[in-house]
Amino acid sequence: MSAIAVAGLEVVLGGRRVLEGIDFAAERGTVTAICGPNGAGKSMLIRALAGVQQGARPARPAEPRRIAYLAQGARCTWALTVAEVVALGRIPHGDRATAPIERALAACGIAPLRDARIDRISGGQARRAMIARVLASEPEVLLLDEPTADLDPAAAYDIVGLLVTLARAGRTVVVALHAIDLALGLADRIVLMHRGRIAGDLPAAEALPALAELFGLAHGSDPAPRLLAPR
Amino acid sequence: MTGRICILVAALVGASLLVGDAGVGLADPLILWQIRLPRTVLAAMAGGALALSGAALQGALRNRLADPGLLGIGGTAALAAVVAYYWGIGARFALATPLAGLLGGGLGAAILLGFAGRAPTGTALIVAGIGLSAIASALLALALTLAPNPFALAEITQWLMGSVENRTLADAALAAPLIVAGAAVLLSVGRGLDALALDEATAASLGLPVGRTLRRVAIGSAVAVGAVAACAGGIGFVGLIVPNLMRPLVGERPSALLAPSLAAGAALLLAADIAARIAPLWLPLNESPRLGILTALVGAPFLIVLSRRSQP
Repeated sequence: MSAIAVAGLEVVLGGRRVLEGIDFAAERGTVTAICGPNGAGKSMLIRALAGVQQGARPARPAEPRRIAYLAQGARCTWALTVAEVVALGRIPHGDRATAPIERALAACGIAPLRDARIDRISGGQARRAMIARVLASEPEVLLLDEPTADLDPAAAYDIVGLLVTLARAGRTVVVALHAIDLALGLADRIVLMHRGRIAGDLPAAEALPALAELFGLAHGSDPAPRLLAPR
Repeated sequence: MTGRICILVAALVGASLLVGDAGVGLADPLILWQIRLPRTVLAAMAGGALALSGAALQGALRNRLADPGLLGIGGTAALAAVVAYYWGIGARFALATPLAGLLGGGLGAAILLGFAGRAPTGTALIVAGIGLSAIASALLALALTLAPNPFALAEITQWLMGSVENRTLADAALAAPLIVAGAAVLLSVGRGLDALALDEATAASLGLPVGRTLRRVAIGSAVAVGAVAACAGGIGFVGLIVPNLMRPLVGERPSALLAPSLAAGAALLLAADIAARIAPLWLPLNESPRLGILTALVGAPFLIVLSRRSQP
């Protein structure tokens, strides 16, 4: 049974159908990447899956304890400490239990930063704190919108490695990404989106030709030296 | 921290009961009960309510410059009180002016929430509040232009400046239940404010939709601040300054800011009221300055400093 599934999902905003005919499911223990050009509806799909998208039909309620959501470019308004940000993940449980917070800090490799202010650490560290906040809810399903968008390549590979580790530990990860290289390296499955519809749903190993076509790019082997994922 | 501020509040309450226009010392019981106690109680309640409402609004709107004045509730309360003056209703019985203020504040709150809609967003609430303030201040100016005689004009202007002077225990008793009820609502939204520290969609995903939090903050602020405006006129800047003063002391977590702001607001307005009373003893003034003038004189420079700090 899928950890998260929708059938015939649509989003209607101001009388315009911006997402339609979405059938989507993600299995436990896997990473699913949602890819597509800007404006394809990736963020909206993630929000609809999280139950926080206005105009989604059928309406889905949020499931705060089971499904955690990380918004694109999530920033904290106030200068909280890293530990305080991560503790926000305990709101659905109505407690400030320390064990899950400590586990989340450790999993994201930011335990030494727990008392640092979120506005005084690097972008990569702050992003890790945001992911630790998601983990502190101890959710079954993680819905992440562009978690690597503003990170340097090394930090992006770091985050991606963390997501794979989380999935292998039994969680379900659904992540919107426009960095195709990362998606191909990270995901088990790639869901292609185009103009508010799902245009393809493929194992990552077979997705390159479809991705290239979707973005209007060529594909093939490139002998030029380039950056690679860390071994 | 809240404990220490409460000790400060207790000390200031004591000082406020001991300090009078004529000097320092234990007063005649009649003066203590009829003059000093009401103004002490009102100053503490008004300061606490304004600061708490400011802390809650800043959290809900995710902006450290938010202030209860932004909602326009104080404006409609003042307008209704002035209308009561204007038609001479204020002179018929003692509580007519504060009662009219309460009615105006309630009407303003109803209009605000009506405009902001069933699922308000922060922006919708601010826009509706600015609109309401503009209407209230325009009608207020109209009422001042049409004032029946210069004495009414002077009295209205004095009232608008904000003060807790010459209030009775009946005024305090009228405002107290509303301020307590509004404060209770505001103190209960802490978790919703914390969830909003990230963004509105995330708050919803944590099970605390922004609409519910905003509505409770708006209702709590309207009730508490409307009651303050009805009984003490326009006292500005307390709601803006106090939470910003408290952040470096207690941290920026919105829920952790509520109780300390309540206590510190009470302390600030008690101190300002004592300062207003003793000012004529030290300065060449032939009347004590209004509380609203003092808070604005302290608050406005603070606002300018804050604007420099909030630049990236």
